[in-house]
Amino acid sequence: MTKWYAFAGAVLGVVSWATVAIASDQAAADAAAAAPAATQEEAVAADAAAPAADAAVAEEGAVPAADAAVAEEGAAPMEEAAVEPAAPAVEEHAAPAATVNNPAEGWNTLWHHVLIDLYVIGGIFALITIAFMVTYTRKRDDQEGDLPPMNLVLSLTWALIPAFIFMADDFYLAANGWKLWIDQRNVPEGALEIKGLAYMYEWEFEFENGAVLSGNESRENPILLPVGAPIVIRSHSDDVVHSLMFPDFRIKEDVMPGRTTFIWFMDSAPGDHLFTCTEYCGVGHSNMWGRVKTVPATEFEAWIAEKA
Amino acid sequence: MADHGGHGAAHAHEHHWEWSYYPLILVLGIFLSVPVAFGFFFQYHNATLGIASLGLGTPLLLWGIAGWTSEGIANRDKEPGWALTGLPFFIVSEILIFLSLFASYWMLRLTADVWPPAGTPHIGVVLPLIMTVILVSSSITYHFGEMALEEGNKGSFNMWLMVTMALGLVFLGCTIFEYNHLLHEGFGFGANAKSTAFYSITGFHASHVLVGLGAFVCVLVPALSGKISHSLVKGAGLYWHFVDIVWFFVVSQIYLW
Amino acid sequence: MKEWIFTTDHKRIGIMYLVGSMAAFVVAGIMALLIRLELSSLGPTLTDNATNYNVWLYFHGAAMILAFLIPSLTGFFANYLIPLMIGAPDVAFPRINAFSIWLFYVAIVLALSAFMVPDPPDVMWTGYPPYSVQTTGNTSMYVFTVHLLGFSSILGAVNFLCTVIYMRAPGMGWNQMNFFVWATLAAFVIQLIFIPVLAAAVTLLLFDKYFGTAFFNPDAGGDVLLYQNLFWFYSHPAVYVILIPAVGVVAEVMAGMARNPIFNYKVAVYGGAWAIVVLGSDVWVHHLYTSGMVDWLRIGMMVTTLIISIPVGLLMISLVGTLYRGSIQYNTAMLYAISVLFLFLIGGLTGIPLAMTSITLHLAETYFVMAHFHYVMAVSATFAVFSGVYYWFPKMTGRMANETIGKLGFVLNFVGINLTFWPLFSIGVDGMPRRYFDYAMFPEFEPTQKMATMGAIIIALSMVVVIFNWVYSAIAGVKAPLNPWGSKSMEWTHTQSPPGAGNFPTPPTVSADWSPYNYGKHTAQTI
Repeated sequence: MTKWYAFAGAVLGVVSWATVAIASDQAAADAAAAAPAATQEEAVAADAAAPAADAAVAEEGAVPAADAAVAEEGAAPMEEAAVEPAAPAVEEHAAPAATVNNPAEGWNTLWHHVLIDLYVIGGIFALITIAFMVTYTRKRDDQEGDLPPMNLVLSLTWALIPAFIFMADDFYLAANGWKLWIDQRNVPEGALEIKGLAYMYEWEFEFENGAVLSGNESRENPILLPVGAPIVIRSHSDDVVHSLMFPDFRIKEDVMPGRTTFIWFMDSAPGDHLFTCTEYCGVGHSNMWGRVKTVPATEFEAWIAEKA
Repeated sequence: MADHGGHGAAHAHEHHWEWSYYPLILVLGIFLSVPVAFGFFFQYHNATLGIASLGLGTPLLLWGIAGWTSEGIANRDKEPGWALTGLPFFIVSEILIFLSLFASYWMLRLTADVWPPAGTPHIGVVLPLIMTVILVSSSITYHFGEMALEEGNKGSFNMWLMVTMALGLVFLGCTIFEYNHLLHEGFGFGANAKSTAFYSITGFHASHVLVGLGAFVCVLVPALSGKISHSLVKGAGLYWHFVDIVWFFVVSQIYLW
Repeated sequence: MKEWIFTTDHKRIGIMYLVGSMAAFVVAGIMALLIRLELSSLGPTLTDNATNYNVWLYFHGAAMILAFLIPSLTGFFANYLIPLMIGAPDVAFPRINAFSIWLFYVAIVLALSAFMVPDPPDVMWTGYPPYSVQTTGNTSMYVFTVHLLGFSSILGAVNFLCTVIYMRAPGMGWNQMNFFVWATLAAFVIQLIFIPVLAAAVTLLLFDKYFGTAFFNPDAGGDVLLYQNLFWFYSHPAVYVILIPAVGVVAEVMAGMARNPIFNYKVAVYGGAWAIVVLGSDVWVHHLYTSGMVDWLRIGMMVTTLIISIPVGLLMISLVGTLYRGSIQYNTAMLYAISVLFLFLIGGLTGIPLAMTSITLHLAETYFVMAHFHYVMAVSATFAVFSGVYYWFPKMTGRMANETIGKLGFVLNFVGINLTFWPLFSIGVDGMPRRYFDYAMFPEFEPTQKMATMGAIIIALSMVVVIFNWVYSAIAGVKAPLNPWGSKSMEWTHTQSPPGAGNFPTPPTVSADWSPYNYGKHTAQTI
C-alpha cells in the first residue's frame, strides 16, 4: 500500500512541478518576446514624438534585437508606425523614453499562462478521477471498499506535499499577477489626461483643452484617441456607483461619488473599441455605452482642437 | 465530553411527536410588527395599514413570548442548562454587530477633515456618566438578586429584580430625555456624520436595553407566583451584563472621545 | 396535522426546510428562465421594461442564495441528519428550531411579495448604495428579508453548536463524527460570526434610506465603499457556508456508495473545512478588485485568496481519494455526487484567475464571473443537494426513489447545465457584462446567448423530471429496505426508515473503534 502512495505522490509531484516549469518556461519565452515588443512600442511612441530620422534609428535599433518570431509578430504594426508621419504637436502625450508595457498585451499573455495552468491541474484531477471511476466499480453486491489504512505519517504526507505544490503554484501566479498589476496601476508620465463623469445614464469625458464629449453620442460619432500614447481617465460619479470598462483594453474600474478612480490604457494599432458600464446602476444600466476610435496622433489633435 | 450524550437519552423514551404553538405565533408577531409595519409606514407612507399591522402583530408577539416562557417554565425540571452555552454563542453574534457599527463609525470619523462636523451641538458628558452609574448599579443589583436566589430567598430576588428593572427604565428615560433635547436643537438623524453615528450606536444599544428589560419581564411575571427557572434567570442576567459592558464602549467612543 | 404545523421535531422541520427551499428554488428558477429568455435575442424580448428584468434578477439572486442554497444545506440537511448522525433524539433547543423554520418561511413570503407590491425592490442581491438608497424601489423588503433569514441562521447556528457539543451518543469522540457533521459545524461557525456583519450593513442601509443618515452618503462625510466592505465580509464567507456542507454531502454520498472511508478524513476536517473558516475571513476584497480600494489591499488579498486553493485542493483530494479501491455503485445519488467532482473542478479552477487582481481588472462583472459562480453554486452545490436528497430519500420517506426517472433527470440536468454555463465563459472573456437587460453593443454574442437559453430550457425540463420523481416515489415508490446502501453510518444502522419520534428505539452508544466509515477492515483508528 505504502508503495502505491509513494508512487502516486511522486507522480503528482513531478507532474505538478513540470506544469509550473513549463508554464514558467513559457513565461520566460513570452517575456523575451514581450521585451522587444515593448521596444517596438517605444519605437512607435518615439516615432510619434520625435523627428522621422530619430524614429528610423529607433526602428533599426529594435529590429536586430528581436528574434525572427518576434519580428514576424511585430511586423505589421511596425510598418504602420513607420508610415505615420511625425507630429511635433503631440510631444506632450507621447510616452517617455522609458519602456512602457501595454497592460492589455500583458493581460493576454498572463491569461494564456493561467489557462495552461488550469488545464494541467484540471486534467490531472479529471484523469485520476476517471481512472478510479472505471477501475473500482462494484463487482459483487456485498463488496466493500479496500482503502488502505491511514496513519499519521501518510496523512501528513498527503496533506503537506499537495499543500506545498498548490502553494508553489499560488505564489507563481501571484508573482506574475503582481508584475502585471504594477503595469496596470502605474500611469506612465505624460499620459493624455481625460476627466470622466458618470451619471444615470450617461458618460461624459472632458479633455485637457476643455472639450466635453458625450458617451451616448459617441455611438454614432466615436470619440477619437491617439494610437500608441498612454491615456488615463480619472472619473467620478454624480449619483450612484457605475463602472467604466474597455473590454478590448482589458481594464475597468468602478466610478463612484466621493472618490476619484482611474484607468489607463494604450492602443498599439488603430482600431474601434467600445466602453460600457459594468456596475449595476438601475434601469438604464445596459444603455450606458459608447465607442472610441484610436487614430494617428495628428488626426486626433486636429479633431480635438475642433471640439474645444 | 462524550458523556454528555446521556442527557439526551432521557428524552428518547418519550415516543410522541413534540410540538408547540408559540414559535409560529411569535414569528407571525415579529413579521407583522416589524417588516410589514415598517414597509407600510416608511416605504408606502400608509399609516392606516401600518397601524393595523402593528395592532395585529404586537399582541401576537406578546402572546408568543408569554406562551413560550410559560412552556419553558413548565418544563424547567427537564432543562439541561444548555441555554447557558447557547446564549454566549448568540452574544458572540451580537458583539460582531456592535463591532460592525463601531467600525463604520471609525471609518466615518477617521476619514473626516474636521470632527465633529459642522452643525453638531454640544453633547454633554455628565448625563452619559450618570447613565453609566445607573447601568452598572443595575448589574450589581441583579447580582444581589441572584445571590438571594441561591440562598432560596425568592422574595428578596423579586425585590432586587424590580430594582434592576427600575434602573433600566430610568436609563431608557435618560436616553429619551437626551434625544429629545438634541432633536430640539435641530440635531436630526441625518444632520451630519456625527448624528449618523451617534443615533445609530446609542439607539442600537438602547434597543438592547429594551430587549434585556423584556427578558426581565419574562423572569418577573412567573417569579411573582413563585415559578423560577434558573437558566432563564442566569440567561437574562448574562444578557444584561453584556449590554452593560457594551455601554462602556459606547460612552468611551461616542461621548468621551 | 397539528403535530406537523407546530412541530418542534428536527426531522419534520428538516423536511419543511426542504419543501420551503425547493419552493424558493422553483420560483427563482422560473426567474432564471425568464432572464434567459429575455436575453435570447437582441433588444426587448419578453418585456419592454428593464425594471421587470431587474426585479427578476434581484429575486433570482437573493432567493437562490439566501432562500435555497443556504437553507437547504444548513437547514434541511443539518436538521435532518445531524441528530441522526450523532445519535441524538432531537436538537438542543427544539422550539428555537421551530422558530428558525418559521422565520425562514416568512422571509420567503416577504421576498415573494416583491412580485405583488408597488415599487418592487430592484437592488440585486448585493443592494449596493447609493443606488439602493436613491431608488424608489422598496429596499426595506430586501433589508428585512436579509434580517429574517440572518436571524434564523444565527439561531440555527447556536442550536446546532450546542447539539453537537452536548448531544453526541455516549462514547462518540470528535473524530468519530461524520464528515458532514464537521462540515456543517464549520459552516455554522461562519454563520455565527459573519452574518451579524451583513445584518449591520443592511441595517445601516435602512437608516440611510428611511431616516436620512449619512453612512453611505459622500456629500455628508459617508463612504460608499463602507457598505461593500461590510457586505462582502459576510457574503464571501457565505460561499463557504454553501460550499463546505455541499462537499460534506458529496463526501457522505461517495463514502456510502463506494463503501470506503473518506480519504484522509482528519486532514479533510482540520486542513480542509476548518482552514477554510480561518482563511475565508481574509479574502473579501477580491470582490472589490475593481471598486477603487487602495492598491496594497488588493495585492494582499490576491495572495490570501490564492491561498484558499490549498484547503479546497485538500478537500478535492479527499473526495477523489475516497474512490480509490472502492466498490463504486452508480445510482442517481452517486452520479450527481461524482459529477460534482468535475463541475466543481471547473468552478473552482476558474476562480483562480479571478483571485488575481490584474486578471480580474478585465473579468470582474462579466459573464466569466457569472459562469464561474454558477458552476460553483448553481451547479456544484445544487447537484450536491440533489445527490443528498436521492441518497437519503429512503431514510426520509421509507421508499426508494425511481432510478430510471432519476437517471433521466440527471442526464438532462447535466447536459442543460453545461450547455447553459460553459459558453458564457467565452463571451465573458470577450467582455459581456453581467446584469444587462440588453446587449446592443455586442450583437456578435447573440448566438451564444441563444445556446445558453436552450440549455436553460433543458434544465427546466430536467427539474420537472426530478421533482416529479421525488413526489411520485414518495407516494408510490418501492418500499425501502432498512439499509439500502449498506452504509455504516448511524442514521442507517441504528434506526428505522423513516425514524419515529425520539429517533432511536434505544439510545445508541458507541465504542472507541466505531466510526461511520468502518468499511472492510477499517476502525476509527485507521481512517
